[in-house]
Amino acid sequence: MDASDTDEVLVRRFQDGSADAFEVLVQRHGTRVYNLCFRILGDPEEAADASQDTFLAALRKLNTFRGDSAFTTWLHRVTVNACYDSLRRKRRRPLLQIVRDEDDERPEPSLPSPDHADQVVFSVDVGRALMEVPEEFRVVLVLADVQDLPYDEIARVLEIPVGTVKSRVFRGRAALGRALGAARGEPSRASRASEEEA
Amino acid sequence: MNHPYEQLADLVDGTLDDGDLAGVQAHLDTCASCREDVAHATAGREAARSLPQAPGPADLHHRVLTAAGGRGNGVPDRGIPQWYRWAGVAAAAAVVVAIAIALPNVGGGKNKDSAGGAEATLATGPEAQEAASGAPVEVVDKNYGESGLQRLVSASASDTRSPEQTASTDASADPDAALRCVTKAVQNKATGRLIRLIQARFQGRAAYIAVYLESPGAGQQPDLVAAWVAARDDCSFLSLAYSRI
Repeated sequence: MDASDTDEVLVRRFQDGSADAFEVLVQRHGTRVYNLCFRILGDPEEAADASQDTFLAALRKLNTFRGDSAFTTWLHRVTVNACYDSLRRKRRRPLLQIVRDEDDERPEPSLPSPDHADQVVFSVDVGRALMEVPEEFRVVLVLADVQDLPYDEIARVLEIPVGTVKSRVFRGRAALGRALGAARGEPSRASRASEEEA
Repeated sequence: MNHPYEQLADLVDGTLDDGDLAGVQAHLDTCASCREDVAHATAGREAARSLPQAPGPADLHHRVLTAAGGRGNGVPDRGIPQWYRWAGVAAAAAVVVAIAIALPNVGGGKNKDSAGGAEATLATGPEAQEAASGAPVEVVDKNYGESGLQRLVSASASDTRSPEQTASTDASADPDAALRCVTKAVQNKATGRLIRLIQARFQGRAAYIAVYLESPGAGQQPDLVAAWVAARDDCSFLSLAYSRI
């Protein structure tokens, strides 16, 4: 197994019966899949579980992958679906569990430059604020600004028009900026409107 | 009021067409909500793009293999990828090429591994012992690697047992002990009918290789050959290869 093989070559090898090919795909895309899950779900453990679910789903479905889209496009779609499943499960949890989750510190996973304390703190704030962004906007925002996918690629991943992608990414960014502002004590639009009325 | 979110995204990205600029500016002049959204979106974009990439769990690969194949404690460094069956299904439309090589097959009568260049000779003995399943233990003076193991199952898939047997097996090898060792190593993941039990080396380590014929179930014909490799010294799992019949 050549680690320099393209994804498409590895997929074909897997479909021809090579178990090693799938292992290479997991190793190659594991970090990217995990980061997508982590920024959508906001919890390292849930992200690890969703990443695992992603690759298990990929394993089951890879025999139907015919290369109509790039493997990464397909894998992003599988990942987003795994995250939506995780979010659905989370919503079904008993209220007590949800309350406990909200009290959790949700530690940022170990970061590459822990010496830069301010940056780490800011990242934690952004990560938390991201959870304030509605899911349908958050998914697009993460794909665009964290994963750095072009809008047309996001449109293919989510199977929605490019215009919808742009609209959601704008509204997601605005929601994130607003959540960060609220965290820093800036007045919200509603509170400012009521002050202006008074 | 309809808000031009799509164009506002371009504005924040700095990619707004000149042709759209006047219209968007005119909207912003009259819409305080959008002006505020643009300011927040600009900050949000910068913040999101500043997020570092997390390294991810170091054991993700392990976790996937564990969940897929039931890997458990005592399996040191390789999974037991039961998902080979899924891969086998995936390969249904693919051609499984049985490489025409000679393998240390009890029934094969050819002992030279032409592809790997390794000489494979069967130890001879008075008679073959039979494992509990009925498979004799073949003692082979050969060091298998991953590719050699794959060739073994490919050849077994194309010709599971030749009628002519020119080699014999070693009575000193305890077939039940070998089978117990393999069973322990693979944690009962191996299913189907044991057709070969080989005592050899795998990547330089004394090993047992158990070759199974597996069927999808429901009384269907076997469709898969799987070879499980266990270390002889500690009965740990070493490797797995499979091929569709």
